[in-house]
Amino acid sequence: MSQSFLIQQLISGVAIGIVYALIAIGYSMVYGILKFINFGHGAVYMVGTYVSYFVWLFFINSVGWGVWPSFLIAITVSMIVAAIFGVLMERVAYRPTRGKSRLTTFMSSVGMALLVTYTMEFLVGPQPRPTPELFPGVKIHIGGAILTGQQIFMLATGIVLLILLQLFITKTRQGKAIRACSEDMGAAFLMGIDVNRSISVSFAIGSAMAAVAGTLVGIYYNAVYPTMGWLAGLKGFICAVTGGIGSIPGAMLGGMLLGMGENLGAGLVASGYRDAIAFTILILVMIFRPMGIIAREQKSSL
Amino acid sequence: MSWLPHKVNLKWILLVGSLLLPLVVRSPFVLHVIILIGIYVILTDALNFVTGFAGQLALGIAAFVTIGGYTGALLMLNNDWSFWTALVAGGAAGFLSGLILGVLSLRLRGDYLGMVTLGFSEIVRIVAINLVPVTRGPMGLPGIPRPEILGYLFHGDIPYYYLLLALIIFTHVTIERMLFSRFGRACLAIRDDESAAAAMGVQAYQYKVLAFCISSAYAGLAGVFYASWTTLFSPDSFQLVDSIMVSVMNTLGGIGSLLGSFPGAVILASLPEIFRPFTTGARVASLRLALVGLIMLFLVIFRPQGIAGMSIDPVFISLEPIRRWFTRRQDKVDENKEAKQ
Repeated sequence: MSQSFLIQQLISGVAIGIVYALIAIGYSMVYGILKFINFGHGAVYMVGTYVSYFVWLFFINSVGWGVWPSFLIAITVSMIVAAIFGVLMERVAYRPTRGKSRLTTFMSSVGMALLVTYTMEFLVGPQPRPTPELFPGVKIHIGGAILTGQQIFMLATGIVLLILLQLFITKTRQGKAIRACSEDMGAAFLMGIDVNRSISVSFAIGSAMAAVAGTLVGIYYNAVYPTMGWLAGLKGFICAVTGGIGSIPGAMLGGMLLGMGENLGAGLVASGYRDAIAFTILILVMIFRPMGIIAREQKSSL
Repeated sequence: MSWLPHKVNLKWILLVGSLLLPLVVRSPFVLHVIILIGIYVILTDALNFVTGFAGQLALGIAAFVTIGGYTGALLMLNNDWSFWTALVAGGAAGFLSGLILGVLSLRLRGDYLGMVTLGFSEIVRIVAINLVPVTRGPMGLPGIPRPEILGYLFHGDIPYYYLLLALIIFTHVTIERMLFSRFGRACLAIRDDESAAAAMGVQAYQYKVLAFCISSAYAGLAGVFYASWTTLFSPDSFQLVDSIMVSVMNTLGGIGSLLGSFPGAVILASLPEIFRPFTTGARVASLRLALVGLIMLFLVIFRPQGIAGMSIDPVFISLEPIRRWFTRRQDKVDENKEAKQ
């Protein structure tokens, strides 16, 4: 195996991994506070992708703007719509089950995922749709490896968003409130923190990140389809638990590891096994290090 | 009137009704749908054993159906095994793969176990798609032989219906017997409070693994049956949404109930046929799954106990109205006699 092949796989892995990390944020923040796996997160990701896809095409075809200005509007709109959607989902499906066992909420989120995914499939049809291109023909050579413009864009967007998020969580008042809630919801409530507001903000942020991730992945693989959220959601979850659920640097690390592992595995074994490698990583992490690689405390919540 | 009992156990009514069903149902299409529903009944019953009685959320039952189906189909196609030995082999394959996954994952609790079993089922599907020399990949295995019994080769859906009925009875009766054994009581104790059960000396982990293996074995059996019935088995025969579907059926019927699997599976599996008059093609599938999701949401929020709750008591149907009807006729006859006299 040549060195350039390795570098190529690693760089591609990091680029897609950072997008997985964006998805993982949604799981991490929600798990941090409510302690349940939001299975419906993949559905939000899919909805966000479709919103940006349709808005993007609308501005290109009907308004006649260029690819880039339309894209910027599309991604903004989709972040807002996804955020509202995520908050609504919490209100409708998860708040009524709060206080019951976390399995109940998990099953509720499974139902939500089915409902949203297949309502969308019913509305738009199951066929994958190709997206417009952001960087036609842009390629950069680094040490024998080839990076596409799309990959660089993914890396840059992901890193900027994750840093902004980390700043938000650690520096702002609302971020502090969210951390307090995930530490101890009851105590946070007694200290006068609006717990419901913190939960809503977590859902909004996670969902907006998922919308960005979905849009980026849609362009990267040049396909948008209603069931895209299943696998992406599962992979986001894998990143979240690999890095240590509830932490943003953990999600980033998990995303990188998953992306690189997947790409290396796909390159070394066979490309068809890419997703199987991701799930093998999940099972291995669950068995050997269920608290994740960056463990905040030794006491596992599993 | 002394020959007519006051009440009758619901399961006898179900049994007699299902034995006579092919006499009433003449349409091959309806019978086909009924067989499909029956397969879901087995899967729901099997899942209920691990989720309802042992309290472990498993979302990967499709994996064991796929493993069992491929094992049975390959043995029948390549090694000329008869259907019956392949059926046993499929069950054994389900049991063994359940053992492997169970040993690895049953220390996890709750939703994490659900995610790992789901991941496992995706791994199985991906391997089945990519292991082309063995499984022929996404094209699937065609031409799986039909069962033969005492020189009679199965053809048409009616013999399959009775075979499936036998499988359902086998599944249900063995599950019921296990439930009321030491093993079943241990499972219930683990479900209700794992720490307390462990403190009482119940080997929680071992029992959970065993319950998981047994449930997977039934799924394997169902897989072999499905393969032989459709004569085609592909990686997409049973997949992620089917696992979730079975889980919703179980929730609808009542997680931890003994008879709940029947209404749960029958209602949800017949849904697409109810839609068929209104819309066609792929849209039926989408609509069905969307509705399944909606049902799940409603159940979890408004009726988490499902139809049958957690009842493991036998259900009796009162025969009093019939008795009364007979008695009234008898009274009339007596009256007439008296009048004549």
